[in-house]
Amino acid sequence: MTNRAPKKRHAKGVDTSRYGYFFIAPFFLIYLVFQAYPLLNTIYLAFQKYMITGTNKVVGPTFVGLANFKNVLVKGSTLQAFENTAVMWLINFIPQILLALLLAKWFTDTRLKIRGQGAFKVMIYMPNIITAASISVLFYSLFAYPQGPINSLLAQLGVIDKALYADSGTAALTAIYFLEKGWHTRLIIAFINFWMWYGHTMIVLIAGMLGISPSLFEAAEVDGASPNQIFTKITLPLLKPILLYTLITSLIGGMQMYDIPQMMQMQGSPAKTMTMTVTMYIMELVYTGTKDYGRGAAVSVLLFLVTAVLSIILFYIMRDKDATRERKALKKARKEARA
Amino acid sequence: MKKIVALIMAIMMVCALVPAMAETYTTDFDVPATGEKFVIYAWNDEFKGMLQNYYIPAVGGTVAEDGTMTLPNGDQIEFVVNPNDNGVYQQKLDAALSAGEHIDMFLIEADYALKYVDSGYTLPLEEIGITADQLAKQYPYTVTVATDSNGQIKGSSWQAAPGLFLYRRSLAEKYLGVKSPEEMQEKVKDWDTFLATAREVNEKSAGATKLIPSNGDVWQVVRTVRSTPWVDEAMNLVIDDQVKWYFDFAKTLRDENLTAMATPWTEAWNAGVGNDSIMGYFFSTWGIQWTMVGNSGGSKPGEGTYGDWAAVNGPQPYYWGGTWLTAATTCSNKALAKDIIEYFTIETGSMQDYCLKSKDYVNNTEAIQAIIDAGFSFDFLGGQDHYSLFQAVTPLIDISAMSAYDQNINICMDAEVNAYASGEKDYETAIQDFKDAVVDMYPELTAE
Repeated sequence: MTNRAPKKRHAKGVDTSRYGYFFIAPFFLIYLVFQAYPLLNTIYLAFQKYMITGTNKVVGPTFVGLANFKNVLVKGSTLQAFENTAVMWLINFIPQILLALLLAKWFTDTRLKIRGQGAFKVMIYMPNIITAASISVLFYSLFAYPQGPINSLLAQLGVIDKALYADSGTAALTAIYFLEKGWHTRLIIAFINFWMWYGHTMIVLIAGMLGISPSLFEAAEVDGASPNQIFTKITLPLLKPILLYTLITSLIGGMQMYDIPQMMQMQGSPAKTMTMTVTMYIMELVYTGTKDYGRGAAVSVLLFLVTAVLSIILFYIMRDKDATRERKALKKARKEARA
Repeated sequence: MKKIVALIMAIMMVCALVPAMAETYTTDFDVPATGEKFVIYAWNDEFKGMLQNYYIPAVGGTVAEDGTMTLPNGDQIEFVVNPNDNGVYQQKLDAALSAGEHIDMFLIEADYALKYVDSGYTLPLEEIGITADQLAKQYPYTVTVATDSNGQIKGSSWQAAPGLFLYRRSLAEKYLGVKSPEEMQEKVKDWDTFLATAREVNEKSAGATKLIPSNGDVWQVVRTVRSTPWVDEAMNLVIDDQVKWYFDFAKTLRDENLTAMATPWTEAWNAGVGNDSIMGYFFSTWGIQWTMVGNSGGSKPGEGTYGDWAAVNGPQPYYWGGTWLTAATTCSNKALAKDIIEYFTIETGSMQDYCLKSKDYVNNTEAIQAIIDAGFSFDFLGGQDHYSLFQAVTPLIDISAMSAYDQNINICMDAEVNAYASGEKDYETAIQDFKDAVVDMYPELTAE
């Protein structure tokens, strides 16, 4: 009796090409279950009326077209939430990228030769290691009212009345109620984000700057370019891809800002209208009071669209204009050659 | 928020020491073992401590050093605790209930009791073997709250929560010349007098002491004496004159700096019990033994503000809070649920024992009467018998303004009343924003 089949396979050798598919299968499976399905389901839910009311009664799901979008845009706080998110992101990101650029330039500058670079980098990066929630709780306590560390500091500096502040009964008259005021809270949240992330941005930018060939800087120096010229004419243009990466990741992270503003929110504080971000609003629609999955999903879809559009705009603005021009010129030349 | 949790835990540890010294009350235990953990959902450690310090020792079970509770039949009791702040407890509980997770019992508070009573997630007491007759000694309002629209009783409370006004004897004498609780009651007998007294305290102390911590404390009273609930039968948000009155009262308090601006449950609010910045608090039964004693900075007369407090009725009879025990539909051990509910909310003997040791105010008219007859005094209140005051207030409790939406609507209102009081918004804007926020949170409601 002969068993030819295995022999045949042996003869052919082991076919390894399909193992590749096995190795990448887990990713696709997990992606399908945990990413693609929720994503599609959210889009589906955005067009349904589906909620569990305040008295635990289930309504829906029934198809309602664009009613959820209309509701959240006209009646709900969606626009306010987008404005809050955008404002808090901008006041954190602009100083963050500027400071990160400055620090990255100093750390990579061969002429400055800063000592103890490693220690500085670690210290600057440090806030990013702590969880955002812990930092929020810390700041929440720092800005306590009527008596708290920041108010004590202000009293010591003479910004608020020292005598009134010293007595726990009269402290309320002079102390600043930070977490009740919209702009104060916005600035605190923006500052926490700034403080937590400038180190991270700096590290990314340093990596980008070190990737630029030193010969370019040397050549510029030999040609007598000033440090400013070197920075604006060589460093910045060549850093563009990294800057774009930083911008997009920070934008996406910023649009999803949740933990810090959520933890800084004092129950019953009027500041809420000015600090509620889009994700906080989604959480509120879906988890507080009536559990409205339809409107929650509609705001999620809006958030997705806004993030996508903004990213595309950024890509367009930051595109490599020279490369496009070169490509066009090449095409034109080919055409002419053919003709 | 973390601070509050830490504080409550600290209070718990102190409380845990007290009953350990007293004689243990014992009762029979004949619940068959199921081999499964008995899971209880709660928003703080209060009930956990009650089981550890009273029920478990009484039935002859053991509490391990890490707090693990084992019954004589070998079954264990497990707690899942999520704080009430910002409605977290309700979120987590709802998620677990709708996912069909195994929950044996869960606790509900007055703020949202109706939501769960009128739902399919709670078992009627009859189904676990407790009859309506057994609840005859409870205060009738606590039974009404736990009765669903079909007339079935779904929960049972171990405490009644009538509220009083607590004040510092020494500060009252210093600034108001008041020497007895009777004189003090005259100073706070209605809201106009209360406001005048608040001005007097502020003036005489040059702002160093305030009569109350914040406007939110006033709301704790007013919310329960309202004539209408937030939501009427037509599912419409009702904003009555009492709400308008409260908005204006809050503004007056703030404009004239008559409160310490210490919002309930914040650090300053808790600390105020132990220092001279705040003269009085509105508290109900559990608040005195659970919150005030722990924050007073002492554990016997002479330490901190312990013993310097006294209780009076205040401007209006009101209630604050109250906890009901319910058996979940997924309850795996109905006999144990029955035994726990009976121990804390039905049996006079065990309730009297718990009442005397904890200074809570139990939901058992017979036990309370017996305690008062035997001569009750509480050294925290300078030897006052405040149970007599509670006993007089409890029959006046009116729950007609209670609705399933209270907690979340009150949170919405807080933000607007503070915006109005601080002058950030005018009344019309604040009320309109309040209506919008409520309808946004509960789209099934309307607000005209």
